[in-house]
Amino acid sequence: MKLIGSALWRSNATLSRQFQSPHGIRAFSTSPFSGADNGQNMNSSESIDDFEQRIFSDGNRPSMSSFYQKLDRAEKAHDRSGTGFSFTMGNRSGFMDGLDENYNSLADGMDYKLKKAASYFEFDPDEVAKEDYAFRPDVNFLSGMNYDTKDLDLRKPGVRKPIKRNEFETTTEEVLLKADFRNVKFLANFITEAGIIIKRSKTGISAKAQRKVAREIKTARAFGLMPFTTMGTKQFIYGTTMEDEDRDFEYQTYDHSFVNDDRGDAMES
Amino acid sequence: MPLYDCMLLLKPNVTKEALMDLASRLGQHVYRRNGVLTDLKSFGTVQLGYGIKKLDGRYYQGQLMQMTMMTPPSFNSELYYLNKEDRLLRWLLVKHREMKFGMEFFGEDDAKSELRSFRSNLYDDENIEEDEDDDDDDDEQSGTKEG
Repeated sequence: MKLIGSALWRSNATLSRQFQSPHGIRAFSTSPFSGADNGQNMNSSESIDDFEQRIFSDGNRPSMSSFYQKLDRAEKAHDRSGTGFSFTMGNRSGFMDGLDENYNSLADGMDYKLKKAASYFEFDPDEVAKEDYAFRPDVNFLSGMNYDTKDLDLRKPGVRKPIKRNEFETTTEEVLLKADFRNVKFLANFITEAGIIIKRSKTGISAKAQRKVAREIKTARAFGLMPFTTMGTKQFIYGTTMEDEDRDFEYQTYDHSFVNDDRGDAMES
Repeated sequence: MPLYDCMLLLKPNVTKEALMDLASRLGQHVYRRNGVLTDLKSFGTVQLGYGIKKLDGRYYQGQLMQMTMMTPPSFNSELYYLNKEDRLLRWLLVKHREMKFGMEFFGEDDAKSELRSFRSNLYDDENIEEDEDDDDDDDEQSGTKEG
């Protein structure tokens, strides 16, 4: 029985040690509040007010140093000494420094700066004289476009109006009347840049007219009047040759008058 | 005998004499078959949709000609000799369609309006009456078209 009893006791002791050890670890890794808990546990007899005053500094009585102030002071001294400076310690001290006794986040001048930044709109008084100035940069006004005074209201978001391209439009009657493989000028409207016949959903003509157009275009192709495909060379335009010309390979120039003048001079000389 | 259009696409460098020689040869064929030539039209030089390769190079232009004739339906096979013709780029026999031709056909309203704008540029606003007359003419034409 003694043997068994001692064995039991040992097992108990080991068990208790195992149970105790995590507690010990937690005690070491506590935040400052765990210390407060301990204090509360130890002095359970004192009143709540007393406790609060002891732990947190009271604004009315700064002379009485609270637990945290003491802790701060101790920490500062510790940091200054430079020994045993760990990451958690530094972090905590910084956090505590920020919450110093007379610290007020509104009094640091940042508020004024933020307000200024929020209310200030950067603008250039000479903006109007600049070359790329646009009164409404969010709306592209083209020459010859109409606009109301409503469109110029900068408080409203700009509404982009779709540019009206003068696209080819036709009717079934017109197609049935005009479609002929000799009428290349008319049929050229029914092929894309690559020389492909445009589908009916795009042309919007009747099936009969579309069949006729397709048939005539194919006849014209076989006869040589229209291209099967431009093979990426250049678009077929009625009345222009499909032969490769030098000017097809020239760079497109937008400064029209200048380049033309230059070329004219070169030709003359 | 149905009415046919024989379209001939000739090389651009073919002379008028050679062209007329070809046309008369064709006409003789038609008459031999008891056919009738009703119309002969030249569309002048046209730009082609692609370069037609012949033995002597690639052609990007051609002279387009149209002969309207009344021939028996078997006439198409008799034109196969044209395949060996080296003055021709393409030829085609199609059934004649009741189409407007020449200026009316090719230009339609576009060319007419272009012409009118040109004329109005020439005379500017001096002859307003004439312009009005033109408008009247157009209206009448469109009226006949519809009718």
